Amino acid sequence: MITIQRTLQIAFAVMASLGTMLLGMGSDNVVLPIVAVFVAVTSVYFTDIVGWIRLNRTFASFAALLAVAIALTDFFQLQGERQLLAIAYLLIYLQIVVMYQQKDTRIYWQLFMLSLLQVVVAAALNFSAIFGLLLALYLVIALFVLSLFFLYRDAGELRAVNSFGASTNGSGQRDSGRRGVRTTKPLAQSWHEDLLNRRLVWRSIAESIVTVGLTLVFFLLLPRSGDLAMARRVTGQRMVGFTDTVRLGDLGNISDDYSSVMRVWFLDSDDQPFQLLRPPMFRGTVVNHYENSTWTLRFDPRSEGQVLSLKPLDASSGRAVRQTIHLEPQHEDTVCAVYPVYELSNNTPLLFDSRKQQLLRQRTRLSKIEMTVATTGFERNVQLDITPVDLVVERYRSQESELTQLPRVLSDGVDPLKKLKEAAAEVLADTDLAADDRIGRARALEQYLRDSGEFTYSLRTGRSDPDLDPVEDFIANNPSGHCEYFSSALTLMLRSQNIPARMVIGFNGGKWNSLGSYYQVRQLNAHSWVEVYLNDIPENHPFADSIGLPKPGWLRLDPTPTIAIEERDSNQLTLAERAREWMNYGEYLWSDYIVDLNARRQREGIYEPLSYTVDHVKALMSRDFWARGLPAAVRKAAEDGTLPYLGAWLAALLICALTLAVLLFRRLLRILPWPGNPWHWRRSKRSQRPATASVGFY
Amino acid sequence: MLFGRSIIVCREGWYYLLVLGFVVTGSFLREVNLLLVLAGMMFFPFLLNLRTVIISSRGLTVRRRIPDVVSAGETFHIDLALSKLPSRFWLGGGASWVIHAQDKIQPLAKKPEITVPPRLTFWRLAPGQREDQSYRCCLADRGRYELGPVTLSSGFPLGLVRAERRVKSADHLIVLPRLGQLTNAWRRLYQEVHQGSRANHHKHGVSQGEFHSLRDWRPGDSRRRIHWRTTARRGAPVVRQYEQNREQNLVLLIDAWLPDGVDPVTFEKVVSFASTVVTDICQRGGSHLYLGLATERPTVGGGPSSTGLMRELLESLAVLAPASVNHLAPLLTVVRETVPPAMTTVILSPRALDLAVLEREIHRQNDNGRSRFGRIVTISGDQEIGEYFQPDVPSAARSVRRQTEPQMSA
Repeated sequence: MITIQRTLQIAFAVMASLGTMLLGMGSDNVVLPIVAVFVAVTSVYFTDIVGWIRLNRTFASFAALLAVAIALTDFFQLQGERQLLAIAYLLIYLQIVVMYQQKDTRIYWQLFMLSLLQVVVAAALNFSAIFGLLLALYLVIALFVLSLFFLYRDAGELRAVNSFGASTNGSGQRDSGRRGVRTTKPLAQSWHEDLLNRRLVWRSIAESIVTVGLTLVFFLLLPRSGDLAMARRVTGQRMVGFTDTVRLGDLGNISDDYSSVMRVWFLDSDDQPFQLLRPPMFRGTVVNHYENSTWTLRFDPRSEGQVLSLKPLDASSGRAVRQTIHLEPQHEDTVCAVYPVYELSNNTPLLFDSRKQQLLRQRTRLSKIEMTVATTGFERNVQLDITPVDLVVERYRSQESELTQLPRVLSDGVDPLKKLKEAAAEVLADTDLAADDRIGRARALEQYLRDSGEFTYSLRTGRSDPDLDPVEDFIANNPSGHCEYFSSALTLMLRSQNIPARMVIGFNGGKWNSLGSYYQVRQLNAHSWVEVYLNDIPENHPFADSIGLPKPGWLRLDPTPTIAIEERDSNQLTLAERAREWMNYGEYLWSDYIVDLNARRQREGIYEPLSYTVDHVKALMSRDFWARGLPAAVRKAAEDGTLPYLGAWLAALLICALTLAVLLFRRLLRILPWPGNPWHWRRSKRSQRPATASVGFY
Repeated sequence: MLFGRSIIVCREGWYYLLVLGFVVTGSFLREVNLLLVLAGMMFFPFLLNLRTVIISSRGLTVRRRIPDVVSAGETFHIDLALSKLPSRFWLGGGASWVIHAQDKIQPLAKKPEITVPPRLTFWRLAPGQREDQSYRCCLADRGRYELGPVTLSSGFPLGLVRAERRVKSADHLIVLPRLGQLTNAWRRLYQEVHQGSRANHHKHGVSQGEFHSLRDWRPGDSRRRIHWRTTARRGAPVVRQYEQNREQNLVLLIDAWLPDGVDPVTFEKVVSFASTVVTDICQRGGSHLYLGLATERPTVGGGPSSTGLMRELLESLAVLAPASVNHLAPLLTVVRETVPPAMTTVILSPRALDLAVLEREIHRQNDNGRSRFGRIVTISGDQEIGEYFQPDVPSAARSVRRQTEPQMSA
């Protein structure tokens, strides 16, 4: 049977590994967890079990001093948070030294403290939800280790106390001259083993659950004083495609990146979140100049460009909904949103760059920001395909030449987009659309790329002819590519037909999370599409009234085959997807209510609902509720057809109340000392049980 | 003190609190929420530990059971019965976990020299439950001891904080002196001082007088006295003991004066010698025995030899403390007034007695009328005592128990 000491050695090794793993996660160091696991396994086997490697105290002290010297050197050479990492590495070095020593009470306690300090440092460096999960696991293991260590320490003390006299009387002869107490009582280990086997693990788990629960209550209710939780350190990530230069082929590298970009809530006029019938498209940045396989943003240097505040929402803006965006820290200033965007309050941390035609964040890029803006881009839960142009904000008339730019004909007279232009002309030739039917002609080209079946969506891109322009190659030879190929092709085809167009880069859809009623947008949702400039939005547009005519606008076209998108964003959830949805919601809660909990969110998310619940309970306890409210609720449920649900709730409530009453009644019976009470504790079987005697040493 | 118990933060607990303080400080200074979470995850286990130890130490009662008689050097058991009262609270009731019971044994009438018996561990006691445990100990010195209070402590489950309660469960225990072996010289002396009455005695083979009792075999006993049937049943040699036909009365006086330069060990040897004589005579029976102690308040006790007398005399020897001055003369006065006349008197002293002074004193006592003292023998000093007595450990308590109660069995 495994002994307490062996269990303790293994448990300490697991705890130390996990602590280092948490630290490795915080410092983005992959080597640390591997080293930690290696050291833990080898120390258990070679140091604790076999005893081949056991550093003596002098050598261990020397190694520890060396580690301190290295860490101090790093500490004074590094700056800022890297100094914290130097301390963290020192803890790991010391842990390695300690683990290869022969374990006793002192060494075990040193190991515990080193591991705990590692987790403390890790908590200052790591903010991911997985860290939270591992922290809970660490808590279980740490409590188990502490309990086990207590028993081990206790057994050691017992051994020391109860060996009093025996050590000087090993011969077994009478110790006639010695003062004091002499005992030959053997150390009874059975209760330790019993406790270890039967109770300790479950007790540690139960204590961990209680601890986590109490910690959450304490943490959530502890009053916050400001918005400073946002100032945490983040490394930030790069939003794909949000540069002024997009080179074809880059997108394939990030297609499987599940990193979160933002969460977006759409709230109607009643503040109720809603889901769109089709995935939303969040516009980020635009590019308008194509040359040498590269899209860039060009604007007339003479044009007046400035960063403007958002236009406030007014009555002429049309029917608006709110979009609340929680944007993760990014390297870029660009903010993606459903356009057009209007300001709701003066402190919206957003600006609009009129030259780059994109939303910019005001605050530092390395912090998470939250914003709520209005948009009129929806009608009946559908995102409008035309975005009106605000001429005050968007100064596009002076840039219209850029919207029809095509690569120059080469010096040898070869047109790099010859096949593309021919294909566009051919497609339009097959239609009988009028030359001024800009929308019809644009949609025909869009359908050609998207629905003709000649082009397929693929993340694996490659050129069949390296000498050709990649878009020309895509149209002529290799009709397979991702969204950038499709949108590039459509933009250039439109321009070849003298239709002003630009390529837009943003995010398409995201995953609808029904638990939190938000769209989770990840890096893999990065998408590009096309916008066609319309001088006048046609009056026959289905949502012309919503848009508010007459005004120019942008017609959104997405030539990428929809099947590829739909496959990724289907809301028909399997069990695994449902689990992922839960995980995502957990990440959201962790991020917003643990890591970034601040005074405002605490007030809105905790205090106000709590106050509302208290009021609700008070209302439930009032006589008025039972006299009027409950019958009215039953009547209403009967009318709505939700009576079974209401009945189920009431039945569950009743069962809970009855169970509680029975438990209290039983408790009462046990303590009430009326004569003849057969349930009283003095008469119960337990108290009648004969005393158990522990006389194992007889 | 908290609710009648001491709450002690262990050394590990202080380290733990130090790290906790560091985390709390960091969480407020850096405003890192995760550090606050970590602080909570450290604080609440500490609080749970505190709650568990308080509940564990609540409602505990201790009852001690000690042997009636014990001797110095004899191993004996002390039983501790720990009971957990049922909780009368709606909340907060619960079992006691890993309770350590630490008894204390302290000699009275001497400088406090606390001895620490082994610690008993009761690993779980549910409300209303009782558990008995025993520890075995051996007290080296004779005397009166006080047992208790019992200290109950628990640090379960984390050992960061410990609750201690001292339960006043005081008992007193008299530890009888160690016994030794009387040498053949003593036996010869004993025969000699009673020679006058023995002259007319006819021997009847190995059996002298009527059968009295059985006792353990001792070196020097004749094999012909072995009671084979009982020996076979017990597995240890047992010999027959016969009632002496003629009384062999004795007055045993102990000089308790321990002047400078005399080894206290010699005094202990005197006490042990006297205890052995008392035990021997009382076990033989059929005679009168008086014991006089030359202490500040000289006392004499005795009568017909019996087990009761043996216990009484051994207990008085158990608590006999050395005197700072000589009280032998007052003792002789008390003896003259209380003891029947003309009894053989043996004076035991750790110091070298001045026989001339002693004879003058006895002569003075006898001079007032007819002779009160019979023959007087003095055995004094370590060397002379060694001739008649060898320290050994057949315990007095065992002898007493053998006469009064059945043998303890496992």
